[in-house]
Amino acid sequence: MPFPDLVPTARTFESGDYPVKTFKAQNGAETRILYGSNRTNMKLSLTYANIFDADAEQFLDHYDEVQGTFQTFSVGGTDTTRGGWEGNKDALGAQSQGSRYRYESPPQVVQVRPGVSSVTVNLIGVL
Amino acid sequence: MSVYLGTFGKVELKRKLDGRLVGKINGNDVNTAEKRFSFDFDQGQLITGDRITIKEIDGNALDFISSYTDSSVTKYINVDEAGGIRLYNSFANAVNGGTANAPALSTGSNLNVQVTIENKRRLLAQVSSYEINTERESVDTTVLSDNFRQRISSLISGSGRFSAFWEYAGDDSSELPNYLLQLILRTKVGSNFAARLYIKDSNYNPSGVAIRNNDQLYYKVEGIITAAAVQFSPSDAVQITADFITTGPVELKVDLEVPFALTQEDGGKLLEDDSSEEIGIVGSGTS
Amino acid sequence: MSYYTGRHGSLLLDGNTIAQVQNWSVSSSVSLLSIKTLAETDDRFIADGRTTTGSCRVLYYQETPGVKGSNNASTFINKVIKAREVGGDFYQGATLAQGPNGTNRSSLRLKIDDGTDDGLYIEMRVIITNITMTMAVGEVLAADITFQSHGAPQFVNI
Repeated sequence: MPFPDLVPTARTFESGDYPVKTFKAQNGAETRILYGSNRTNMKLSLTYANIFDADAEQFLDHYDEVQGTFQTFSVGGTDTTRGGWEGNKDALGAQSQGSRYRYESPPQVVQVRPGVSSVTVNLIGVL
Repeated sequence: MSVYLGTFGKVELKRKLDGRLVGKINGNDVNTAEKRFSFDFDQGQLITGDRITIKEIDGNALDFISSYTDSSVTKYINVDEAGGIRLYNSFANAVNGGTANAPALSTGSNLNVQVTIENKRRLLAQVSSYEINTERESVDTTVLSDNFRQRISSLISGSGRFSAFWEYAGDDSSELPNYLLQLILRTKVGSNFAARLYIKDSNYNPSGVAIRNNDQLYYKVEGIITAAAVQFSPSDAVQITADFITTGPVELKVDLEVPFALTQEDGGKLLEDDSSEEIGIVGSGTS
Repeated sequence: MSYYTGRHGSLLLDGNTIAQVQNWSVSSSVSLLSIKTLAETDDRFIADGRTTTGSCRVLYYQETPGVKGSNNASTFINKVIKAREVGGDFYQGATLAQGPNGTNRSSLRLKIDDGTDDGLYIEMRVIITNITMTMAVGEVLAADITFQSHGAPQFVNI
């Protein structure tokens, strides 16, 4: 089961960082060692406000299918998860860096009224 | 069936003060040669012809009047253009002014005084017309399902207008229309007055019924002058108009002629303490 | 074609017609939830909920001095303004129940007389949320009452 193809009502994205270790000498001089060539740890937070419960259920089912925070997966395309973003698809993604998303935490579902809920999903990009 | 003419109407005015004036008479503000003194409150509050009572608040003698030992005095006043005041014993003397009839003054001590006005009712001269309107407010009590609007009586208010030919001097027994122009300009003590507006006066009897000859019907009101205007143009007599609203009850008095009147043993009329009102029985021609 | 004016209006509280009602009004509003996504330009909504409130003004009167009467402004007033109940030393309250026989809510029917037996009406279970009585110079003592419907109206025939 793929990640639900829904356009979020709000989205935040942190672009992560390359694996860099920084050493600082007592005189202030800094030495950095790059341990890899792929950026990782990007965070994608998606909010789906006031969606029908049937759609909200897809996130709960998907979370269960990927065994919670265990398995990685790719998120939807430009028209769905990244809907409304007019830059390059890669910029919000993880795959171009060889990473894939997994759930950082369980999806949060807030019941708004009968049949309608709001869902917040926090994803993190890992190699 | 008779028709009554406005020719026989009249207006009687009684000067009033809204509250009282409190101030000082400084000893050095007394001009003994001119028999004139002044109060320290703003000019324009007192008007020539006012019958004022000056009372020393601390009970001291009003020693700015020569040989006077009482703490209170009631006199008519004449006010000059500088606010200087002379005291007189009669309205006629007050409006005529001058030093001849004014009591002698002396330079006394500084006095804290309060001043009140309570005048006798006087005919308002030169009145060309007047109107008085009484208005009854109503409260709508119509409720759902009613077919006709329901109302109950509420408050009564009155208003009116005096129109008169302007005159400021030459009559020392009546109120002159110029007084109305002065009255509206009093800042501290309001523009209050009391009045009787006669619809039928005595000795005017179109009805032909002899016993009705001296009946009097009049509106008795207390009011405030709310607007005063002078119409001044080359081809017309100078006229003033003064609008008023009432401040209390509007009474339509019917003073029927009956042969009862309270008199003294010598046949003289009984007067109130301040001589401003005659005492009688309702319907006797005085009240 | 018939139009209706205040002449055709009436108000029933717990089944009884209230006298001297000067006006009534009812307002029903629907709140919305936005379902507009990031990919859209124009708002889209779904209905979230509905609130039905109303108000009426009832003139206060007495048929007989000393007798409050019934089915008038007093009936409304006594549902909300109550003397404290006899209880323990520290109990100073009074019941909030407004309905007949100690029930919480009252039944209110806003009626339009169209000539038929039942007329046109909206009937709802209500809680009176506010009563304001104003005694003022030149005005008739009246109770301004606001109420809110508990749930959807029970009967709607309008």
